[in-house]
Amino acid sequence: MKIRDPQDFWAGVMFIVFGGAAIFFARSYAFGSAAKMGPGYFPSVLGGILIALGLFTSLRGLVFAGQPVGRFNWKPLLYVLGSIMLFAFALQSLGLVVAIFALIVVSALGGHEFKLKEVLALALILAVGSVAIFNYGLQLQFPIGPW
Amino acid sequence: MLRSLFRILLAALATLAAASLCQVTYAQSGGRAWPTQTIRLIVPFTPGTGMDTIARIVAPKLGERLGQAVIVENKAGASGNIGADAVAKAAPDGYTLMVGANTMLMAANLYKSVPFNPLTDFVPISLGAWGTLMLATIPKTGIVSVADLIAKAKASPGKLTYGSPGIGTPHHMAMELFKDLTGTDLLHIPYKGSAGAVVDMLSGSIDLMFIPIHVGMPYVKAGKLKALAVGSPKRHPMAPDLPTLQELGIKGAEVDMWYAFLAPKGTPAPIVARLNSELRTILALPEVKSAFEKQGLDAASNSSAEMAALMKKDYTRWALIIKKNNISAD
Amino acid sequence: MEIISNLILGLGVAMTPINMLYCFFGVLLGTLIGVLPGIGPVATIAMLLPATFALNPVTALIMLAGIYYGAQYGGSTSAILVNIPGETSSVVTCLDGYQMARQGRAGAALCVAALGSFFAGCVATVVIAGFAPPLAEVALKFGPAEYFSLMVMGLVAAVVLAHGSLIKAIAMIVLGLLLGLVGTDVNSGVSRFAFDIAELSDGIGFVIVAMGVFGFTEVIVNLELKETREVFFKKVSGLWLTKADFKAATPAVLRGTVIGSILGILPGGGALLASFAAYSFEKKVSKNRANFGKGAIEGVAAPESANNAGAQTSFIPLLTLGIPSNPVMALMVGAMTIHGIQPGPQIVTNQPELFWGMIASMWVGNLMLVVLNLPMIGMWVKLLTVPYRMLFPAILLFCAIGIYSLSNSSFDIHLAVIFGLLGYVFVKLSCEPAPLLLGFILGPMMEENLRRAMLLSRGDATVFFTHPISLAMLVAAGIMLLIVVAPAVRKKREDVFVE
Repeated sequence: MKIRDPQDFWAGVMFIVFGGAAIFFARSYAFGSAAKMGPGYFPSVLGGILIALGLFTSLRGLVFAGQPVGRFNWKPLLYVLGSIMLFAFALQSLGLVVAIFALIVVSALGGHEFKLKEVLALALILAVGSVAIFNYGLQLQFPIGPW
Repeated sequence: MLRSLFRILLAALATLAAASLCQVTYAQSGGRAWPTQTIRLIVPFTPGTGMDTIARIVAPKLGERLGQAVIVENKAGASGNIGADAVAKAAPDGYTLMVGANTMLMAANLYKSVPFNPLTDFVPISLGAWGTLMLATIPKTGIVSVADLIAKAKASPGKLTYGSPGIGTPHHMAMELFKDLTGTDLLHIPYKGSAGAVVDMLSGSIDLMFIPIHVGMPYVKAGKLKALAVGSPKRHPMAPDLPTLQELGIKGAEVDMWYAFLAPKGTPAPIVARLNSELRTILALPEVKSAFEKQGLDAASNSSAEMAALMKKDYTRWALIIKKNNISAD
Repeated sequence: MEIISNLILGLGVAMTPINMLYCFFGVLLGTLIGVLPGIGPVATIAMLLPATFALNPVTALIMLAGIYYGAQYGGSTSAILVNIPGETSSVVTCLDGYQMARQGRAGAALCVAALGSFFAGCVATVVIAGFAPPLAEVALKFGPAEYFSLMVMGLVAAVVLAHGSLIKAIAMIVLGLLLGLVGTDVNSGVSRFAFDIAELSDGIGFVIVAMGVFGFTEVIVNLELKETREVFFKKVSGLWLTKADFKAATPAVLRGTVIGSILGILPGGGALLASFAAYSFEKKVSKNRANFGKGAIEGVAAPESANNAGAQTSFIPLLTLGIPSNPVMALMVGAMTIHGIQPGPQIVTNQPELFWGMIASMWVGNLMLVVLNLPMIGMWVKLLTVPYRMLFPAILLFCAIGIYSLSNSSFDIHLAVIFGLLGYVFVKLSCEPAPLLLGFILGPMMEENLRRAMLLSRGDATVFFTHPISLAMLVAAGIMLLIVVAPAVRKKREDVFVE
């Protein structure tokens, strides 16, 4: 059997995995009856439907021709998501200002061009602006610095 | 390019600076002894809830008296467990306080995975307020009194339904206690928050509910609900004609909501004592009393030891009810 | 002519200088926080609540209401400009609004959003003024069975949101429903799919999923494209609407307003459905349906009008029954009680000045919003000419701050990163995220009402068919499903023959 529509085929696999996981974890919740549905009822039913839909999608991917799955571009993916995670870590221990610099500089590395001076200027403006807007203007409770 | 971005930020900044004028911060440079820095008052529920309002009424007054800003921080989630856990594990230096409620003690008995012990992980500072629950029904049921309710419920067990804003809320536990004391069988229909339950009650889908008296009274006055009794040991000024459940002969039917100020275990006794005395003064202020009253709350205070005793009493009481009636979650 | 005298009374209250000032302040602040992704009206209103102690209750409520509908306005701005839905209501605005922006028509999109919202706001004000008490009775006709059927209808409508594969859209809805179930089960208190993570026990926040699959994913996908090197938005053409735009948008605005006004009345999440329903309906009836998802102006006009109309009519259950239909309304209840006004059925008769003053102020506030926002469109559009290499880190930052501010927890940010990754996989597999989001929003409500209805009927599933309103909605859902599925089935048969 040849995969003729990789997008559909793998999307189907993804749905089967999610549906299977739902049923697997829902097994530990009481199923109940139609009159008194337990916490496991709804997720199990949904999981079953999702598996069925996934199977159908995958099979269609074997029958009909379609688009290939695009290549994963790791660079923007890792820099963008990494910079956000870095922000989350830095915010609690080092404060908002450091976290902003970390996010801006690292995410900018994921772009097409990187001009350090420009990026630092941007980070500075955003840091000052954010502290003013969020800490003072909106009175949100962010730690500003590590102190 | 950068300039236009900058200009936008500047404009935003200016407007928000104006916004902050609405807010008054009481930050003053502290001196020697505690408190020398900002105090965080954690509210384990979302903004706008009764508990949040208590905190927001008391915080500025407390800040004024301590000479340090007291900031209300909402750490909501998991029926208050996330916020409470954060406080339980916070440094006991008097800079992290919280507002708690009797829900904490109910939840601790109900859920296995509560990561803290409400009795041993906190030092009570003082009671904050009492809230009164009223037992109400809809006219459609034809129930006219508590005795009538008991008779009707006994005639057809499991037929009457009652709503609550969720499992383990005082509204839910109050009805379970009522069921236990009167030997009746009522079907529980839980909701997420009280708004949905009230709608379904008004539309006639559910029959009964324990509802905060200030929320329920407008509907009673409009003839949409029928009040049967109050759960507290004393009658409430909002409805002086409404008997208490105890008066009606249901012994031990004492269900209230209370709110209290707590600190993490190990907070130095002098700090707890100072906070207690400041809170007592604040909670007795006429403007605080009237602000609370509008929320259907009665401002109250007590000593740290009295509060600890109240928590202990409630904890054992609810543990018993939950066990006896096989109420479970998780 | 009672309405007219009442409205005059209301205008008299709303037009006092102090109330005008606070109304303006409210809508201005609302617009601003609406534009900032993640920072919603709930947090802002909660924060300003104590500051309103000193104000007259009418003034306070006028300002807070202004923040609410101002935020709805602002929310569509970030949806159109950077594809970030800050509110549930602006998810569908992203679909066509953002595409319009990429084609250089951000001005027209923002313009139609503003004008459509204004029109809807005016109509909704009249609806509230004229029919609030009788409409409130409609809300009370909806029990758990009716709400379940309404959700079913909403889900069928969601299928239309996608423009690709039908079967994948349905699967995405189901996946969304499942994601919505994460957290503590309302009926049993059991924590599901939370894996002992306390932060998950209240479920996953909407903003977290939306920022992840829309905001973060969009940035990553844009960075993949070669042509984003400088300015990736096409040259901006005209800020105002063309004649053709007007012609296309007007019926869409009218239909959106009607749908939004009706759904807004239902306290159990009706307003949430308003923009989705309006978009789906428009996509079915519009002559321009092929263009939906690719920058159709109707696809912005209809949901934007619907969400503003719905936002406003959702005040009906609050003002006439005292029932808050969403967290913002719950805060309004808080604001009323702080001032000693207990919301309930007697508010119209006991507090006519408050009731009519608030209604009139909504109209005044909407007018202010248009006046405020139309000139700002030029500025917003200019923002898009900032090179993307500087724009995208700023977008990410505002998203991250917004997510953090939801519950002051970095856990939420990490969770959003996971959804960003998932969103990227969705893009690679041509699975559209909008149906997932609708399923996500409706999932918990659907399950809750299904189980509640079954509990109340003691397990008798016929309740869904014996209640007339419920039956009517299920029949409507069935017909809709046929309309949606039939062409797809026919097309597939053709495909088979082609093979």
